[in-house]
Amino acid sequence: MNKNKALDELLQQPSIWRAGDRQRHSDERHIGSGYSELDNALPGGGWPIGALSEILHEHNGIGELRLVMPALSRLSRQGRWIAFIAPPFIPYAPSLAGCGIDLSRVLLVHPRTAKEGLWALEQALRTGTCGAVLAWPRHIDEQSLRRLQLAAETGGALGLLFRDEQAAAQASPAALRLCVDHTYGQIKVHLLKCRGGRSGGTVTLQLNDPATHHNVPRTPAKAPSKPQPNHPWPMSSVQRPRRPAMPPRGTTRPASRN
Amino acid sequence: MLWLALWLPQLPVSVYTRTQKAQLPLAVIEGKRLLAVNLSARRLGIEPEMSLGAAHALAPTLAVLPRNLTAEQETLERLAGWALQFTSWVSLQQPNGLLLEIAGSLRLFNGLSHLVKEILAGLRALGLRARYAIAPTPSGAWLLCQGKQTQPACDTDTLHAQLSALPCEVLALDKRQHKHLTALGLYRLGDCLKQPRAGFSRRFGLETLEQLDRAFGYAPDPRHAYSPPPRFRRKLMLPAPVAETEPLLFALRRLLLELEGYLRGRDAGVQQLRILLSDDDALTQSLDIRLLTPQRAASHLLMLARHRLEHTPLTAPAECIQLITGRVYAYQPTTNDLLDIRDRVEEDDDLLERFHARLGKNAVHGLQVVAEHRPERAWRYAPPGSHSNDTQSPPRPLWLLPQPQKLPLREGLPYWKGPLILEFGPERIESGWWDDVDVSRDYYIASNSHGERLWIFRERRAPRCWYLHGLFA
Repeated sequence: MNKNKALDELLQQPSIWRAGDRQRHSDERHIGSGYSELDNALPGGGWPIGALSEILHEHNGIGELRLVMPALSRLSRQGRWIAFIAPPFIPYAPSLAGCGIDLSRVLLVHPRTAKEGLWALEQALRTGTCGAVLAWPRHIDEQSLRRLQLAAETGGALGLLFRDEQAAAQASPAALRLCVDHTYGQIKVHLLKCRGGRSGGTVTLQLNDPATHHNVPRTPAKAPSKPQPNHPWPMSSVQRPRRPAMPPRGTTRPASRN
Repeated sequence: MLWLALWLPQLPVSVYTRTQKAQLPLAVIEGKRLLAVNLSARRLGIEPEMSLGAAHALAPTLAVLPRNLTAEQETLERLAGWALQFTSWVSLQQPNGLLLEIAGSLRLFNGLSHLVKEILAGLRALGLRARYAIAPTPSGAWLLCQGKQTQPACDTDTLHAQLSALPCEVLALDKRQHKHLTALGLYRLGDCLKQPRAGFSRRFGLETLEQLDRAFGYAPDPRHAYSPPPRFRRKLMLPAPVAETEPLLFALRRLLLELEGYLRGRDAGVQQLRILLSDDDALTQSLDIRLLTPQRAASHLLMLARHRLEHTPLTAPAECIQLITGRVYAYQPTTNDLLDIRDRVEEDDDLLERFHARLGKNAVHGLQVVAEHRPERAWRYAPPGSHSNDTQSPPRPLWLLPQPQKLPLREGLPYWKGPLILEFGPERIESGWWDDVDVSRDYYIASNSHGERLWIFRERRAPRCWYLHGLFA
């Protein structure tokens, strides 16, 4: 009996990971991504807090940012900064607000050089006043990544690095590495590395309808009976009915859950 | 009333040595004899009053500097400003002392011993050393201080006992008069007091008698209260030109500690600081530090200055460092309240200040939504933390291009890394005729074969070009 108890206590250590044991990891150190398929595939059930996550993508505008928006929205409501360090374009305020992000918590930092950018990124990760820090580093070596990972651990921030697909070949201390790809209107997320989980899987997400990331009720309560025209363009009026929001898959299933 | 006397016999040396960490043997001369020496010189056997030749014989490396009375006076006044944080009544005791009325501060600083400890620790941090004594009269405290009597005399009886036991050397008399006292058999202050007043004042001057009366509390002893200048403006001479950041920060720390004391005394904080570095007379560099809220903590200001100095290299070795502040503002003290909200705000400001200090003021922004139909005007940069009104908008891209980018046409269709397929639209935006930047556009959501979803528009006016305006990232 005593031996079993000691073993149980030992297994409660957070640093011990047991294959297939996903439940135990879903603690406060993760934040749900808002996409249930992705949450199911990620160890801990979401983005790791206090760690770096890399999102690798070849093209801009395939949904790489929408992937993190639900989590950012929740983090912004916790009163900590959502810091954008050297964003490649202007984060568009109406759209961010539409995603549910508290704009008063958004911090944009425009460093003049890459070195300053790295410094700002590390500071933001380390202070503990940033809930999430987003950055788009062009060239970054492993040593810098290691520093950033430590800074994120210190500050308890969700560090999100958006990098080129080619960076997949480089080793990285990040806790999570995803590669975002696109096929036929769907987003494919390849899990390149998940600390404490199984890597190598692929998750398919449907997030291409811009309506889904606005304040539109997500449950398809009443699907419009009329099928959508195949070629919606050109249409003359702005007020035309929106294409029904395709729900994230997780919400279509739960009939059995109730 | 209770007075704390601070006597700085080392002041002539301190004005030179307090700006640097490493202490080499140093002596300050006045005329041909040594006036004061620092600790490292004392270790080599050099004492004040020694002749210059004897001192050099003992230590050939001894640095000898002339006395700088102006710097001493300035330092003493600064110190008075710094001491205002402990009491509102600080008086200068020329040429090298301060008198602090501390009866009203005892409760605030948790008792006499704590207060004295705090003051002495503060002096050490400023690079100064002082002797102290405590007595109910300012002259009494000063005499006890000269007599190295550190046992506090809190009531008149103790004061009388301690003063009576002091040797007559503590009185400011010339050599001849001191000899005269000894010849009369008067060795202690108590002996003097027993003498007939008329005869004593004839022999040693009325001033000496009055000094004794004031010290023992028989006569009133009025003191001027020091009032600080409205702005803080301090200068420190560096003993040697400095080209590295660290020694500069060491000197700067001393100035910032003085500033903190000055601001505490006025219950104020500053939002603007300027650090001026100069060599000889010419200004070489000026560094500005701006703060979001009034601050006074030396450690915080030093941290900001460090970021600033690490970022801006020194252009020339500095011989003199000067600190100037802008207006002083009422200080909102930070309290650690139950809900930890205040702390969060403090830390937020801390991060922003660090960004401001290193990256410049225009590098940090917040975002705000503006109620406006033209997409490029529906947002603006705002100070971080600004709140926006709730607005509902149709689907909008997460990325906006700073300038709409013209798209080429291929086979009648706009082209961006491949032919674009229009998925939604048009959404007509026609607005702004009143301010001459009117737009008339049809917006579409389009995608290409890479899966990039773009926000593009077509001008409704000729030549009806296509533009890329955003990305649904």
